[in-house]
Amino acid sequence: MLSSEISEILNLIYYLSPFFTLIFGTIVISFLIIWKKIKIAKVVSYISLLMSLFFTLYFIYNNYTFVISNSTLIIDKFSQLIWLAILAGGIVSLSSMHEELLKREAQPLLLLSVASGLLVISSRDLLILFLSLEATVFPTYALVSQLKRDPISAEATVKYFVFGILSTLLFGYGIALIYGSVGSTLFINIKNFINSQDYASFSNYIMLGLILIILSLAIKATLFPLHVWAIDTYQGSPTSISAYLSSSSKIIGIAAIALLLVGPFYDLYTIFGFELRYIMSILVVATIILPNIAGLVQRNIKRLLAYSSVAHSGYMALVYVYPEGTLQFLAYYLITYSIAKSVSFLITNLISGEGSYSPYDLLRGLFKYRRTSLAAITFAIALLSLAGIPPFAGFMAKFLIFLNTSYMGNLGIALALIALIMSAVSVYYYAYLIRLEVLPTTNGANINFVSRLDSNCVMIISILLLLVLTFYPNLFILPFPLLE
Amino acid sequence: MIDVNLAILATIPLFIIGFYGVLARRHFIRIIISFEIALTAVILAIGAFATSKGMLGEVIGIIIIAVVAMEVALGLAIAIQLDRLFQTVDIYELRKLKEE
Repeated sequence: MLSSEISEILNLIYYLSPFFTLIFGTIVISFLIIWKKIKIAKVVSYISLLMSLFFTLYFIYNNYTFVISNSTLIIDKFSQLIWLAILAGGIVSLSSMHEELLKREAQPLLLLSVASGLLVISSRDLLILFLSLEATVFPTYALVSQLKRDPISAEATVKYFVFGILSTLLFGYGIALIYGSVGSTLFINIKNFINSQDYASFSNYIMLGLILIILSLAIKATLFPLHVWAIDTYQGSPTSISAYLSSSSKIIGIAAIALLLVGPFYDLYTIFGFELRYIMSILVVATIILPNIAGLVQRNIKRLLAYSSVAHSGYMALVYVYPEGTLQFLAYYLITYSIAKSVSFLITNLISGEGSYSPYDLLRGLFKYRRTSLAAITFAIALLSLAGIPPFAGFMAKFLIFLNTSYMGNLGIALALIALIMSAVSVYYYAYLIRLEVLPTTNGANINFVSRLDSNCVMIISILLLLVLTFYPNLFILPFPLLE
Repeated sequence: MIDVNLAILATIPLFIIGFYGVLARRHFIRIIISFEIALTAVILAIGAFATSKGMLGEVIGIIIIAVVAMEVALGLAIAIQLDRLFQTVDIYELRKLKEE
């Protein structure tokens, strides 16, 4: 009797090993930071993140699928592939942290947020999704407000917090409506209910509930009308935390919407297909066009990267319009985006520090000096990958999503064209930054440049990944549809 | 047995009042209180559904209460930090002080 329970617990730990390594790491690091062993704490956080990555890769390599506790959590190919993107963002964010953050509670909070982010993607129950989403957001409130003396950082915290509680409210009422009509929060039960006869009398409530939940997740994913917090928060928060927010935290929002749309609510595409696709395409078009236009006039590196990340969430949201053709490539896009975006924030952090002061002029002369040349090359490659220039992985990701959208009829062709034109516009501001790196310095630039072993390793590995992953998009094909 | 329509009709006004408060109030503490009002609507709605749909609703309600408590505690911590930095928790004032 007892032994069966113990073996059950051991199985659970094995199934959720990427999650539990991070939680275990968090506990150890908290004590190490209390005892002021900051170097060891950083090593331990690297080890736990890399162990988590290793377990995820092991699961993917062996094609494992685990079903936990009445299928409230399912660890399948979908969750494992998106875990890779989340963990990549977490590792780069950790490598870019400066001493002022490392000696405070930033490391354990980051690991805690990554760990619960893993649970969000593998949850197949609305309540678990809500809880783990809250658990990812709580540590980031504390992370964003780490620079206690900076007024811009305080403003960023307030904006992030107010939008965070709006997101909680919307998600809460969405759960209430869906639970009130279905009587359960399990994804399979919701899917069966939508296909059953009772659906007709509750269709309004389920649709309203879905819209509220998508709006709530759109705040995290920074889709158009709800992206306004992102610009100021990415600018005002410490740069290493901006790297985390713009890669992992956003990926969690994007993937959670995809999870809902192709999981329990996928049959709404056959019932309300026309309306749903039109609403989504308006959202996508606005999210692609506006930040790309606004990015043209920016003069602050962090603000520009924020605008470009909002534009990228528009490209990712293209998969919501026609999930049947494009969802397979979402994980590949997310992984390449996560690496490129977080690395570009890492180099911004090395140049300008954790604060919000990061004018374009700091980039001048980056190519010229030997100690900054690696950073300059990495920055150029990350930006070219974000812009979608051919030899790099960002090109293949954009190519696959745009091409497969354009196969889906007239609306698809129009959307793909708009996305293509706007990503051509975005090349302007990426190329402007790269051009600044070649220009000669005005006096005193690059004095504050920090060179560290771990960030150099991360830069070299990310260059290699951005070059190599271009040729292997087939490794990251998501399963579709999700609930069988 | 409580009808779904009735429960939603009763709680949506409360939810909208709270939601409006979060968007429109200037005082940070008032924003947090409005947030609590709106989540009370959520908890009431789920509690009402639990009478006809089974125990799960009560569990969800209790979990949401815990989430609210944590979020409010974080909000108050942020309010204290704002007060130390600006000597005010008025969000509009905060913008003015930042520009100076």
